[in-house]
Amino acid sequence: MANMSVPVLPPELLHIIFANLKNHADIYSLCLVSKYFYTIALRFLYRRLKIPHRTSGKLVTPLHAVLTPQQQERLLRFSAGREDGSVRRSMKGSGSSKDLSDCGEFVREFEVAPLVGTAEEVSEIRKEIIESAIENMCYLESFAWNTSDPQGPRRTSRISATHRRASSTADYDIIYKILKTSAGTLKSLSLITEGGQAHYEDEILLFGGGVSEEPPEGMRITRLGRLESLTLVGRRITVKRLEVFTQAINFNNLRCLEIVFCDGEPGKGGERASEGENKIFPNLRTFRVKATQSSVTKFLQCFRGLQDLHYELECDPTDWTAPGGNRRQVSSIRISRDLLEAITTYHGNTLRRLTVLSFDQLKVIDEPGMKIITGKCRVLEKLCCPVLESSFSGQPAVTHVPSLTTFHLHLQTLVEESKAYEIIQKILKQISGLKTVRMLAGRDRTKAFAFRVCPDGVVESFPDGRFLKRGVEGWEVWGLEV
Amino acid sequence: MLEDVGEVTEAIPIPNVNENVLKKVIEWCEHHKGDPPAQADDDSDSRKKSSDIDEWDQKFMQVDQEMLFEIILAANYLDIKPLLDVGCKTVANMIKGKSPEEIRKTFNIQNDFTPDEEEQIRRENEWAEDR
Repeated sequence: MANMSVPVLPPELLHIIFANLKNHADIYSLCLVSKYFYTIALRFLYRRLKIPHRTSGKLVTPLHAVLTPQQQERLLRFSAGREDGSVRRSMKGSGSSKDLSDCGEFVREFEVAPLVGTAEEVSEIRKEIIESAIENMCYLESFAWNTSDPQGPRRTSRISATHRRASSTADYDIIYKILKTSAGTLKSLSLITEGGQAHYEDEILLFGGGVSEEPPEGMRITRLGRLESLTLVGRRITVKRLEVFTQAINFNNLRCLEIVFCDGEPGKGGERASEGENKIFPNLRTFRVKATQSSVTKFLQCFRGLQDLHYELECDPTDWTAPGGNRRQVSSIRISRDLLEAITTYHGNTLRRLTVLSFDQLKVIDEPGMKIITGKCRVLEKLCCPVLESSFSGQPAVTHVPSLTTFHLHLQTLVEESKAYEIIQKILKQISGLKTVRMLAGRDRTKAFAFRVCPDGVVESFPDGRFLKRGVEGWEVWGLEV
Repeated sequence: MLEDVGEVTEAIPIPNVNENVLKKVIEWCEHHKGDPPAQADDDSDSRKKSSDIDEWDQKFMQVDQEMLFEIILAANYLDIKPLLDVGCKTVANMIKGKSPEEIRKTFNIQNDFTPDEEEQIRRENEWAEDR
């Protein structure tokens, strides 16, 4: 057999090998091994770029890739200061003329946190990003833009609070340019707007470009044919607005959709959503959403066959309408039956993971609600939801789900350890296939109990080592492990 | 490969794979013949990392470097993606945490950079060092 070492492997195989290395230090080492390695490894070095949240001092804060704060000082740095007003790019300490735009074609992931600084500084950074950083990012696969600009990404002219017609924002220009440049390769897109109100027309111009009007001259419709994951935070997305995205996105490819409404202001959470059986994004498998129950119910009717649903409750308008017309939050104890029916009716046959979170409210899935879920979700493997302690005091709250292996429950009341054991015993009686049970108790989740079922049938409480064992009378507290 | 050549009764020559390597490849295929096909729509949670190599595969790959690379080349030639994947992960694990000099030593690679070239690369990419 001929003498053989890594370099004789063809580039495409080295490419696969190097792609398994996620640590920048490893990639950096590979670049220094030999010229052959350098040509292949360099693209992995610039694969992921992040612009972190950072308050700037005198200099314009950097565009750089970051892993740890200690290393930030050594990273690729942008600095302002030329007399002609242009921005000088440099590598700190190196004196090298190499700048990021040279490596744009290697970048696959580009993430921007909110830019913080004076208006001039932020503007300078944005200008820098537009003019150089994204110039050659034609093979981008993942793009995340997080803006704290109160104007948000905006293209359409409208009268501002000062009665002046406002032009497009830099955020919009950056997003538009990124989408245009890497439309053919983009697989993951996150648009996170803090405090801004995106407008329906902006969605049309960014993504659809022609639902109700032709795009303005010079603007092309962006086709994101490969997009698999879309995250929209702080953009009030209704079903109607979601339909705009279908103009631009190949609905057969989208697998993951995340929608988060930022504020809990009542009455704006999707009530404009159109009714009806809009079967958009038929291959969507993961849906993560933070919104009101009513809007989530409408969204769920639009999809078919979700496998993973992660839902965080927001206040419904009804939560804010107290008798006498006073606007105050009223507590509603049960998660709506309509929502649970929508989950089970449209996704019961496919749902494998269901997570319902209620951080700021007291809403729970009651006993009948639990029966709806477990009665119709036949392949459920993981269930995470808020419940009442009393759900486990009478008749079985959870019917038998053979596939369920993980159950996380959040009890709204604080319970003692002995009570927790009692509840766990009841749950284990009802769900024979459970491997892990995790329980958080109290409104603030102050107490946590975790149990796992060992292969020999012993239920172990971790991390303290206390465990339960199946006895003649069922599960019983057995004591501490020696 | 069989799909490419259609239905044949004669032996198919595979000149790029020698006997010893082919035996190893067949051994691997025999062991994994009952494995379920890889799910294309697996979510990111279940996506395997380079360190996730099955115990049997780890032992299987405990061969000398020449054999390891022959297996990788054969898996590529015969289009056996799971075996190629295991082989590449094994090599990647051999690279992890090593300095350039250690990598050269491990794989018997000649450093063809001049000192100036090496210094320039270090300068240009120093932000990635020790990250």
